[in-house]
Amino acid sequence: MKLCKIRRTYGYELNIAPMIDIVFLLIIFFMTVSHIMRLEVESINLPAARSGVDRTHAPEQVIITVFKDGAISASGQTHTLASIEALLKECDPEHVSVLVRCDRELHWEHVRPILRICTACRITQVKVAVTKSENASGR
Amino acid sequence: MRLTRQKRAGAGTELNIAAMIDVVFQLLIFFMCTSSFGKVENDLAARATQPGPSAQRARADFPPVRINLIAGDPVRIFCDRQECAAFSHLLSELRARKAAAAPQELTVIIAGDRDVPFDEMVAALDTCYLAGLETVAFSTADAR
Repeated sequence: MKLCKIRRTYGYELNIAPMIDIVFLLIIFFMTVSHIMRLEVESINLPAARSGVDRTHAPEQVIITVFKDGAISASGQTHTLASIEALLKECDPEHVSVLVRCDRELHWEHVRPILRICTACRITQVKVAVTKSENASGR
Repeated sequence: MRLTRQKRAGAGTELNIAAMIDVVFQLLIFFMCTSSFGKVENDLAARATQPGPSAQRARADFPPVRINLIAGDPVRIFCDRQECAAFSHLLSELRARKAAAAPQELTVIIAGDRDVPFDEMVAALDTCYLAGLETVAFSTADAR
């Protein structure tokens, strides 16, 4: 008399324990390294510097990005030098700060007019964006 | 007749890991999709020279150190018309001048050719800050 059916297993069983370990490790890794932030600046290849200081939050900051081809962007919009000048003239020079983000390969002739406009608008708090590097300037 | 022994229910609660694995995979996919590995940005203060007679008078009273960068491959570096082989040379030159000028604060003006890469201008600015000089400004005029 056959009382119960014995189920035979053929092939290999998937051992998911190490897989779960790896998945947990990956999650912990991503949670640790990722900064949840609002991307409000475009990604460009910035110059490297050793003496760069950590960015502090400025209440009134105009971020001007100049791309490799000389195109200018501020607050997510494309600008010309004239429109940048108009934008900065509207700001209070005592309280506004300007962050200039330029591609490292950009020629100085594209950056100089922006600094000239800042000076003309009497804005003294001007900063350039850099990436921290321990080997910079040791060329 | 009792043929099979039944497992006693309630001897302990079993952990159902299927749902947990689902959530963990969802989290993993979320983090893999949303995370981007960008470099952390830092800032360097960048002043520009002030135009006008009063600023020129001040510069005449306390002549600043002038760093000129001339476009080329590699970029030529001049510190008060004296050529420096590299930024490391410029750094030691600036340190020596700072020590000689102490306790008076030394002012530096960096000028560059129109074709000098921005990277090199920042390297000159960085070198000044590394030398401990704080009053540094970019000249908005041409180097030549």
